[in-house]
Amino acid sequence: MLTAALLPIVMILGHVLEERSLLGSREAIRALTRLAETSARRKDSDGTITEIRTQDLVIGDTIVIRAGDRLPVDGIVSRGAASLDMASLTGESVPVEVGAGDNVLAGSIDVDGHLDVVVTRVGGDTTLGKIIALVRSAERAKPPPTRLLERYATQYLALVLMISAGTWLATGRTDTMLAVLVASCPCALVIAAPSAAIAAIAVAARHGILIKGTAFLESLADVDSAVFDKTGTLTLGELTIARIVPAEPDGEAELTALAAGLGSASTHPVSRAAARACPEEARQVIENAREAGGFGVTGICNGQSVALGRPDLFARLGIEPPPVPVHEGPVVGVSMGSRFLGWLLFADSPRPEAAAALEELRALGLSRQILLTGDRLLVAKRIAALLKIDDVCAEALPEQKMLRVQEEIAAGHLPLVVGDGINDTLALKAGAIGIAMGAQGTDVALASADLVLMTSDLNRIGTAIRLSRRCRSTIQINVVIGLGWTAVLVALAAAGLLGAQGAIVAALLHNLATLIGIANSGRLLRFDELSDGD
Amino acid sequence: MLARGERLILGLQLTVAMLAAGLLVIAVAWEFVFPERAAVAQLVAGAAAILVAIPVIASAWHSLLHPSLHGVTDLLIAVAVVVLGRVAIC
Repeated sequence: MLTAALLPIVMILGHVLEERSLLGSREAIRALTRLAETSARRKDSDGTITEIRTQDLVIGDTIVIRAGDRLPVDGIVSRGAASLDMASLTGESVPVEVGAGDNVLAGSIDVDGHLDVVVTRVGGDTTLGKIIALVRSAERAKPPPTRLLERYATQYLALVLMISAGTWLATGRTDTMLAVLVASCPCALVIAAPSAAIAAIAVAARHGILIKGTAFLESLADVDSAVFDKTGTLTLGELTIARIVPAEPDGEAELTALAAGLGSASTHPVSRAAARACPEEARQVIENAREAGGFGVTGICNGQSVALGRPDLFARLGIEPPPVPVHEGPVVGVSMGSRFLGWLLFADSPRPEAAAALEELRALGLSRQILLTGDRLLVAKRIAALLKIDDVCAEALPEQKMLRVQEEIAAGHLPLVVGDGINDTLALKAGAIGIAMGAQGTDVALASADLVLMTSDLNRIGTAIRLSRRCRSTIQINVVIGLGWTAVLVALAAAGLLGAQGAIVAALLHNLATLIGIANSGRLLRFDELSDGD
Repeated sequence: MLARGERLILGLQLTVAMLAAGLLVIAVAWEFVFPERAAVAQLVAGAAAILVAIPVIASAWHSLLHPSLHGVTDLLIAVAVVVLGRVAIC
């Protein structure tokens, strides 16, 4: 009678312990949910502040965010400036400066400053809401080893019952038969894959990597080639000065200061890029600045007429500039009075981390790298050369990008496709794994890719691959522990080596194996992109 | 993330297991102190066995209706408990 009571107690306690241990991993995911459970201070039309629950906010409301507050919803800053800590969402530890007109995301923390934010999205529509929904659906997914085991569950049950009956017939001992029954419980195998998957999802979320479904576990560890979109993915997607060609050898400082001053008077992408060439205090002060009908900007500086614009502008102004340098991209000149100061050559530059990130991917075995772009071949080749990519597919329409990815699959490769999720949807879906960069607020990115990187940091691709490989090896170790332990335990039980209380001993040892598997999976929680190599 | 219902069931199972464990301790202590009245100890141990058998059988029944890999464990333990119960009664 003692055994009849003790066996279920041991098994129930084991089950509770197993769930509690898994909760450690689940807690990391739950932390995301808590970010959404906040209250908000709404600013009414008469200026009074009312404290309300986040779920009572509606689109168009204005909320007040003070230093230390967490943003409860997505919105646009209407007034004020602050530094926002977005680590919970993006894994990015450096606070981001925001001001009027900037989009802000629910879950960010106001480190300093005061903001008035107009609500644009609430509840499940916020980026945070979508992230939580994504992570929840990923947690329910079953990794491949679990699906395989479930397929043969009935056969396994029948096999165990036969072995137990055989043991009873052979030995005539009920306690031995019971020990075999208990020893055959596949708990350690059941927990092998989900425990590792939950831990991996939690760690990935902490690093700003969102996983959709089990594609992450199944395919990311095996990818052997990488296909990149150019603009906005490998490059910054905005113009920067690639080269300065002053008319006089020591005229560069004067040229950039004047260009920055004139550039700040216009909203044209080239003018804005010119304005970024100098800090605000170093720019020349321009009076009477005006757009010159699509040719550039003109104005007055220190009593002299100044101009920034396309080569055609200077002919109109009666200035004869030197020959225009050969360059694949926008070229503008700068003049002061009748004097031509020089040329500024603009280009879209690779992200600062791009070269190192692609090198890391090569080290991880993704030596085949392809650049896909709708841009001109010469521009694409320049970026490819800077990043050491040999295979370039330029001037490609979305369908052609998809066909190029399909060709890669037909050639026997498993390509990873990285894009910004807007014009690369077809290619992202065609790849073995599609990764969308910079999901802050873009619905398409969240919808089209298998993996979403919250920040546009290319280094996170290597992190995701390393994590997926760690996760796969953890699952493999867990399966070996589960299978091996169960086989040995069944053999010992059938041989009657577990003693008269074999069922209880088997139950205890069986729970021990489960906990070892969970502890092994728990090691994944310690994964850190900065310290964990492959 | 465990749902509220799942947490409740887990808490209930733990409570039942601890209650049964308490009864078992009482049964063992009784048998030690009053060896001549061992039947009472057997009765208390039997009550403990029935108490924990309920969630085990319920889980097994649920697993029969909704087969899963974890359900195999529930079914095997339920078979073991039924066999143990029969052996104890006989």
